[in-house]
Amino acid sequence: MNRRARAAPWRKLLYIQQPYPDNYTDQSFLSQLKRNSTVEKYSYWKLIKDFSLISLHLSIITIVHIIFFGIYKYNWDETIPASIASFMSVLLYGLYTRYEDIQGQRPSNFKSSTFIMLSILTLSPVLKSLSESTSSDSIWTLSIWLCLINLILTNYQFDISKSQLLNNFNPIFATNILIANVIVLASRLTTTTQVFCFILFAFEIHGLFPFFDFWLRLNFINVHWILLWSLLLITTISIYKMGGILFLAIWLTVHFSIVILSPIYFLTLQKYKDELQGPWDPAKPIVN
Amino acid sequence: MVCDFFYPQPGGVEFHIYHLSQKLISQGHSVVIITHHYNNRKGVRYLTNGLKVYYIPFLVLYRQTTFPTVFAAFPILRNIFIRENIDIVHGHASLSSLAHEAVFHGSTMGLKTVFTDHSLYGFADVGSILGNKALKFTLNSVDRIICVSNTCKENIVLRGATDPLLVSVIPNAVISQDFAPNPNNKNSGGNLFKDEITIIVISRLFPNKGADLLAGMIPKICQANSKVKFLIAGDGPKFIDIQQTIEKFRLQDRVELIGGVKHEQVRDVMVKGDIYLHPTLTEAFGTVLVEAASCGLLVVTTRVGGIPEVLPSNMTIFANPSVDSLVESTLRGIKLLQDDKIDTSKFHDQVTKMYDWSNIAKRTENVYNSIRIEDKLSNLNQLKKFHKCGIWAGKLFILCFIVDIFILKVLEFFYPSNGIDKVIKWPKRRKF
Repeated sequence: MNRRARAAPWRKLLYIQQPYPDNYTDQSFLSQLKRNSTVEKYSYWKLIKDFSLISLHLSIITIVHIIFFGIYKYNWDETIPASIASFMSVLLYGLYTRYEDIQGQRPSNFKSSTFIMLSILTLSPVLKSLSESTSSDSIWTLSIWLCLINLILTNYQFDISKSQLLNNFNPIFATNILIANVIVLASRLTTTTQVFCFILFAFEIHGLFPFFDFWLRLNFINVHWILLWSLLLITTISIYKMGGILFLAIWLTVHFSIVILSPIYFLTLQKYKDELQGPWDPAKPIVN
Repeated sequence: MVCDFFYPQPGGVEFHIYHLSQKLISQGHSVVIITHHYNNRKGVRYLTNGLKVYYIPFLVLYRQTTFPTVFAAFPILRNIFIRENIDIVHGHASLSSLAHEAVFHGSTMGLKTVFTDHSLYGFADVGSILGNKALKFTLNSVDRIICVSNTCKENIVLRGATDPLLVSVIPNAVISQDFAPNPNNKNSGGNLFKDEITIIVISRLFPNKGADLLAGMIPKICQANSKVKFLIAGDGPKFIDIQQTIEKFRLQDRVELIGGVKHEQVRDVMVKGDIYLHPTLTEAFGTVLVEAASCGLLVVTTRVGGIPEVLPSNMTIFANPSVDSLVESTLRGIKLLQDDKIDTSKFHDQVTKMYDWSNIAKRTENVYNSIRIEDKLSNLNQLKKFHKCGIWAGKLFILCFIVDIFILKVLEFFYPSNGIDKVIKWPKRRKF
């Protein structure tokens, strides 16, 4: 009797009493386990494309710092970058609203940008004296940390949809870190005009450029690549002029490792990927 | 028995602990439950048959889970273990940090330890990763593990990286007398009575319980069959969504929402219906399905988690977790009932034979007895075992274990165990 019962195969059921111990582990144990079923195999070029955005973001941050050091150290005319940036912002904003057919938003956007500009203007004298009692070294350290945090937190997603652009593009935390960085830097400048112009310039670059670049990637991908290369060129030349050969070497190494080496490293890490899926995972509901 | 979740909070884990303890007491064991305090319910309480419950005052973090400290509960737990002359520490639920602590400290003190898991977890999100690490730590220090379903066993073996032979599968059970079908319903049968079909849903209305699927199904079923009514019990964040669906499709007189019900009332709600619908997305066991079948309801459910193991196919209609599939299955169930092709009146007796707490308690007892104190790892071997748990985690586990041994020695020095009063046990009831 017992032998015959033993011969009955074990079934994965709880409502029948089976002649097997409770800790019995059947051959079919974990047969429904799926491994790495949703893992995407990345191509090297796709990764380079993704990682190039880090490079681009780094260039943007660098441009703001170059302008800052130009004003701070070499007494550049602060109104020139601010005017160019403002002019370009208005122009590109006009193009953008026209292309997306959202001219209706113009008055409200105009109102809010005027409000921001006036607040910067009012606050400039205050910001100028913000860190008077602090030494410059501390400010540079603080600025570097803020930039690093921002570099880590920025969203480097390459492909986004139009609805994301119009509704969800809202990198609040990362942008706020950059704004903090800008304000900290601006507090080192000497005149109110310098402070105002620098903050305005930096706000326009940090606030509007990522948005603009998303739009470019969505609609005119080639313009995005031209822009990326020209920005890289400008920053590279400026770094060479301001910092000499050593800074240039560091700068190029950083970019090389981001765009060329990091994707290779990423691909080598992928073979360790071990994604487990099975009947215990919450099912994805299909609601239509 | 140690768990964060216990009476007065209702739920599957809580009832499991209570019923298992009661059955173990009637087997002649002495059972003590340790949980954290609930509002002003602190200290020691007695439940039926002298089941003693310690409500320890502890900081409650989130959804009745205590703050996850590794060592904080050690002094009081040690005190209770010694006072009560404990041989076996049995922790429940992997979200309960108190259970983790108790099992770990019990292990350090050289007691036999068992851990029961009641739910399923994935591997992808941050919460699961942290939870799984903690579980790995605990499971590497326990002697035996109990799971409520085979799917749960597969899941826990992967999450805790443990030997599947240490894991036993012992399901939940129900007190079938408490879930008896409506006697008036029994013999009526026939098309006359089954003219109108009531579908019961008793579920917390959370996204992971398939509330979205439910909201999508209701209008479709009402449209497809004009004789169907719904009775939905349960509360949760998706309550409003369901309410809106009802209002949008003007189904107020066909769908009744009664909000949360107490566990004692579940049976009274269930017997009002003919079909029990359970569109959940994840479930380790699904005691409610057994309860529904016991009340003589035809069960329509999704084929997820451990559900396919729970009930035989003559009581259940399985569906995929999509609105269309669920609607199709429900309509098939309604057709079966209306054509009188299925006899639900025998369900109760069948379920009674399938799930019984005495049986569960016996099987749990077997697990306890299978632990031999000689087989317990020496501290050194335990350290070796922890060391294999990962590059960083392994070191951390070792550190925790060593600190725990030190704490034990310090406690032993300041509060020697022979200075702790032993309690007088509740008088045992004579066996008949």
